[in-house]
Amino acid sequence: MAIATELSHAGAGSGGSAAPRLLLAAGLGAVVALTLGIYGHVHDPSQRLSFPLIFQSTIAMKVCFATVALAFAVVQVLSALWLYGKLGVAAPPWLGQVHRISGRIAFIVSLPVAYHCLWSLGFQNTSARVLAHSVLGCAFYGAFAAKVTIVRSRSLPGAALPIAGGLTFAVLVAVWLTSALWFIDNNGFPAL
Amino acid sequence: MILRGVDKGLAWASWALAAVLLVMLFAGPGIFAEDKGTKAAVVGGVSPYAKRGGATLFKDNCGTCHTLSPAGTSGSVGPKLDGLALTPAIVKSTMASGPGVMPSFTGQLSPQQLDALAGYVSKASQ
Repeated sequence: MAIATELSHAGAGSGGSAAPRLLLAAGLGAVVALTLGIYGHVHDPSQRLSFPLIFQSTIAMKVCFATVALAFAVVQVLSALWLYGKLGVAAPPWLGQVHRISGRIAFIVSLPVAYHCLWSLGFQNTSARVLAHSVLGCAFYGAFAAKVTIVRSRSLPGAALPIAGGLTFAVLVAVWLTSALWFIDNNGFPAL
Repeated sequence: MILRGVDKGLAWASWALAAVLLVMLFAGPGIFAEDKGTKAAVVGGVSPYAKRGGATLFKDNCGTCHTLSPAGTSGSVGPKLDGLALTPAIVKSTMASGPGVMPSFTGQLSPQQLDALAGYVSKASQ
């Protein structure tokens, strides 16, 4: 409730200064997404990178980490709804920390997956699914950059943060659907 | 208090990891991972794989994903090749098309390497 009130005040008092900040956040997100897409397109993928980390195979690492990232993103959304008073129960004082921690973990575990995609596979368009996944993967980090920028900005409309967070979550879900879920659906869950 | 410490630690970890991986995107994956060579040079010159036999080519290119007992590989991403009695033509066409999650190897290996690899898999999968 306190957060919602604070954001409402911020929105009411922001006036004309909000648009440039929002444009800056959106622009930064676009730059990040485009940079990743261009890198993936220009970089010559070796397709031979073995990057299993703690797993038996690289694909197991990617499927597991992507799924873990999605799970923590769900925690992010639920805790955000709770913080905004949408669950009908007062938010405990530690929930803000849990919200931030879940977001950081989701980001961290997504990085090895993205790294393998960018280095070893690159930006591909061999099928509609692959093209969608390539675009969405780049868009996710763009949306993430925009969201982080909005989180750290003051005097923005109260709806900016939930919209940015919701968009980031939606893109992550789409990324997971076009990769990990597709793989599990076709090959089963990989051996860990 | 504990959560705050965890939060701060993860904040550092996340940006540090992002920075390391960003550097690795340009410098190569040598720090944490093994990149089994860049694409073989098939135009002019001699590919680094040109002198290798089919078994070695299989281990390097296919063994991570496929189980093939004679090659000693135990990958579980793709189908087991033991007993499938694959013909060289099927192996080549599969490598060219890259069905499903399997990447296409078009341009990755020279025709001689493809012949060696397909011949080996055909014999070893009987």
